[in-house]
Amino acid sequence: MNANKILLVEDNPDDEALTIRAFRKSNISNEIVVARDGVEALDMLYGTGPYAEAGPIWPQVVLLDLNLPKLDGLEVLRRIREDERRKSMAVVVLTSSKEEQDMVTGYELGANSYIRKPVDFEQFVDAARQLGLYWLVLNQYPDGHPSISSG
Amino acid sequence: MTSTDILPRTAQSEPASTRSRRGRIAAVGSYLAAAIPQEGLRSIFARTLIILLPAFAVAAAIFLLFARTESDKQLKLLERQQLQSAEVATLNFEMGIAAGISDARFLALEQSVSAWVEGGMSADTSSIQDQYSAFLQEKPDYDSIRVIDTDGMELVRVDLDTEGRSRIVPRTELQNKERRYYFQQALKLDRGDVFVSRLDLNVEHGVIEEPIRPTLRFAASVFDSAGARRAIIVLNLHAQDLLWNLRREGAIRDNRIWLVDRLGFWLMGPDPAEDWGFMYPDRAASGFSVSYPEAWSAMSESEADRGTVETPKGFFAFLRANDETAKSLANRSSRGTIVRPKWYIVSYVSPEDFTDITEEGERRMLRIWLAVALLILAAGFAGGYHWHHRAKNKRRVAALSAKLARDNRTLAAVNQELEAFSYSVSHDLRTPLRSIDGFSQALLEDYGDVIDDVGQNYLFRVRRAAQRMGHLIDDLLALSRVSRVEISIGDLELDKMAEQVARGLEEADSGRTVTWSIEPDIHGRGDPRLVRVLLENLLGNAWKFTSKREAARISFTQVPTEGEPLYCVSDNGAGFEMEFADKLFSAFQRLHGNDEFPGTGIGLATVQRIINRHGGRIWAEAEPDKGATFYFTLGKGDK
Repeated sequence: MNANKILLVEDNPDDEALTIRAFRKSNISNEIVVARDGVEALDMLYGTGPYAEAGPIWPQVVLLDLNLPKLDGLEVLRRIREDERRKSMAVVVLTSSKEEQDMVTGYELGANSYIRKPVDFEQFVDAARQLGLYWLVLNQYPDGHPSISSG
Repeated sequence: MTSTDILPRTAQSEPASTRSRRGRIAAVGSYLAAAIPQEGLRSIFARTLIILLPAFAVAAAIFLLFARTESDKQLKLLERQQLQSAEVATLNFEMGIAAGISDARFLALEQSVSAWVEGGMSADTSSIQDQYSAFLQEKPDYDSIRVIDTDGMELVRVDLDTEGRSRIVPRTELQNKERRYYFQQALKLDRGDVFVSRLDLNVEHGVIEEPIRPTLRFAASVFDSAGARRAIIVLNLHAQDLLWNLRREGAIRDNRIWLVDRLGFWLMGPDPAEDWGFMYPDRAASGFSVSYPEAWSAMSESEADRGTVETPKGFFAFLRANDETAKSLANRSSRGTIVRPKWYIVSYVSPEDFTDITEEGERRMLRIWLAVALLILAAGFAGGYHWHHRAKNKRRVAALSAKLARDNRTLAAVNQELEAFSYSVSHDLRTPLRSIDGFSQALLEDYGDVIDDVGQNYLFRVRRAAQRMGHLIDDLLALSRVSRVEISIGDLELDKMAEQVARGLEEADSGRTVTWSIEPDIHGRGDPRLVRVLLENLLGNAWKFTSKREAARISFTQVPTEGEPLYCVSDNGAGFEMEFADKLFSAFQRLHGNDEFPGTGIGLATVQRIINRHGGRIWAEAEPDKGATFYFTLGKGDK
C-alpha cells in the first residue's frame, strides 16, 4: 500500500539501521523506504530520475534528517511545502542535537514535528499522536494498545 | 567580469593569518621606528628648539635691557668716581696754593718789612733776613723769599737748601728780576693782593736748575704808609710736594692724575720726559693737547669748570683751577666760575680700564645670563624630552590601539572559526556515539539471551559511557552557544521564569519532594533565553545537590541592595568547601564525584559566561552538608 509507506531520508547507515530497528521492535510494519540524500528523496517522492519507473509516492510520514548530502533537509522540506498537493504531508524532522531542535522550533520551516535521534519509539508515538496518524500506531498494536483503544 | 573586479576580491580573499602577520609586522615596524635613538634624539632636539627659541628671545631681551641699564650705571659710577678723585686732587693742589697766597700776603704786611720800608729801606736788611730765615725753617715748602725793589733788583734773598737749612744769599749773588713776568705782574697789585705765578721750573742765571725744581711764585707789593709801592715780596713754593700730593692721590685711586697747564702742556703727565714742554724747546711738540687732542678740545672748550670726556683714547674727568679758586679757598669764600683757567687737573682712565669697568656690568649680566641660559636650556631640553615622550607615547598608544583593533578582529574571526569548529566537532562526535549506544542497546535487547551477565554488564558500561559523553557534548554545545548567540536585553519576570524551571524539574523527577520558596515579583533585565539557561543551571544544581535531603529546600530571592539588583539561589543540599569556591565556575571542575552527583562540570561555567555576557557578577557561599547559596547580578541591563 503506497499510502502506508514511511519515507526515511537518512544518509548515515547506522542511524538508518537503528531507526528501522526501533520501528520493527515496536511492531510498526509499515513499508519503510530509505533515501540517502536530498536529491534521491525528491526523486522518490516525485518519481523522477532513477525512480521514473516506480512513479511518485505519497508516504504517510517523511522522517527527514537535516544533514544530507547534495541537498540538505531544509531544502527538501522547502520544496515539499512549495508543492500545493504535498503541503499537508506529515514531515517529522530528525535532529541530532539541541541546536537543531532549537533551529526547527525557532524558524518557520514547515516541519510538523521533530524527533531526536536515535529515534526513540516513545518519542515517535508522541509525534504520531500530534500528527493524528493513529493508524500508524494501530498497525503496530494489532491486539489493541490501551492508550490507542481509548483514543 | 572585468579584471578590475577581480582585484579587490583577491585582496579580500587574502587569508586571515597573512593579514594578521602583516599587521604584526607593521606594528613592530612602527614600534622600532619609535625606538630608534637617532630618530628620538632628533625629535627631542626639534621640540627642545621650539621651546627654547621663544624662551631665549624673551630672556635675551630682558637681559639686554638689564645689561644696558647696568652699563649706564657703571658709567655714571665711573664718572662720579673719577670726578671725585680729580676734585680731591684739585682741592689738595688749591690748598697748597691757598697757603702760599696767605703766606705771601702775610709777608707783605708783616711788621719787620713795614718798619724797614718806613725806615727808608736801609742797606741793613739783617732783621728781615733773620725773620725770613726763621720763616723758611718753619715752613720748608718754600725754598726762597725775596724782597725786590721796584726796579727789579733783589734786595734780600733767603733760600732754603736741600738739607733744609736757610741760607742768606750774599748781596753779590743778588740778581735783577726786572724782566721776569712775576715781577711785572706784582707791580700791578693792590695792597693785600697776591700774584700767583704759573707753575714752572726754577731758572737760575738763565738756566733751568737741575735737578728740576717745579716752582710756584707768590708775589705781593709792599706799600709805605703813604700808600706808595716800595718793594715786591716774592715767595717761591717748592711745588714738588704739591705735585706729589696729586700723584699720591692718583696712585691710591689706581688711576692717573695729571696736571695740565692752560696751554695743554704737561706739568705732570704720564711721562716725565714730556713734562714742562713749554720750558724745553725740544719738548715743545709734546703735551696733553698733542697726545689727546680730542679730550683737550673738549676740556678747553667746555663751559663748565668740571666734566668728563670719553674718547677712543681714554676717559677723562677734569677740573679747572686757577689762583682765583685758590684765593677763594684762602678767603674761605665760595668758589666762583673760572673765567681763565690756569690748570687742568685730569683724572685719566685708559681705554682698556674704561672698557673693563664699564663692561664689568655687562660681564656680570652675561654671567647671570649664561647661568639662566643654561637653566633655560636644561628646562627646554627636559620639556622637549617630556614632550617628545608624550608624543611618542601618543603614537605608541595609537599604534597599540590599532594593533588591538586588528587583534580584536582577528580574534573575532578566530572565535567564529572556533565556534563553528566546536559545533561541527560536537555535532559529528554525536553520530558515532549514537551508533555505539544504539547498537549496544540492540545487542542487549536482541541478543540478551546469548550474552552472559558479565558481557551484558560490559555493554551497560559502554552505553553509560556513551550517554555520558553525549551529555558532555550537549553541555559543551550549550556553553559555546551562550557565547555565540546575540543577546537582546529585555524586562524579565524572574520569579515566573524560576517557577517554570521548578515545574520542569519536578516533572522530570516526580519522585522527589522539594520545598520551593520563590519570592514573588522578582524583576530584572537580561536576555530571556540566556537567563532561563542560567536559572535552569542554578536551580538544577540546587535540585541535584539536595537529592539526598529528605526535607529539601530551594529558594530564589532578591536581596535588597542599593546598587544593581542582587539575586540569590539558595539550597540546603550537599554544599562544598569554600576553599574550592574559586574552581566552581571553570569548565570541567567538579567538587563531587560523578557517582555521588552526576554532572559534566560545565553547568556553572555556562552560568559564568551568561553572567559575563550581561556584565554581572556571581559568587557563592557554602558549607559542606549545610547547603550552598549563589549570589548574582545581571549588570546594568543596558547591553
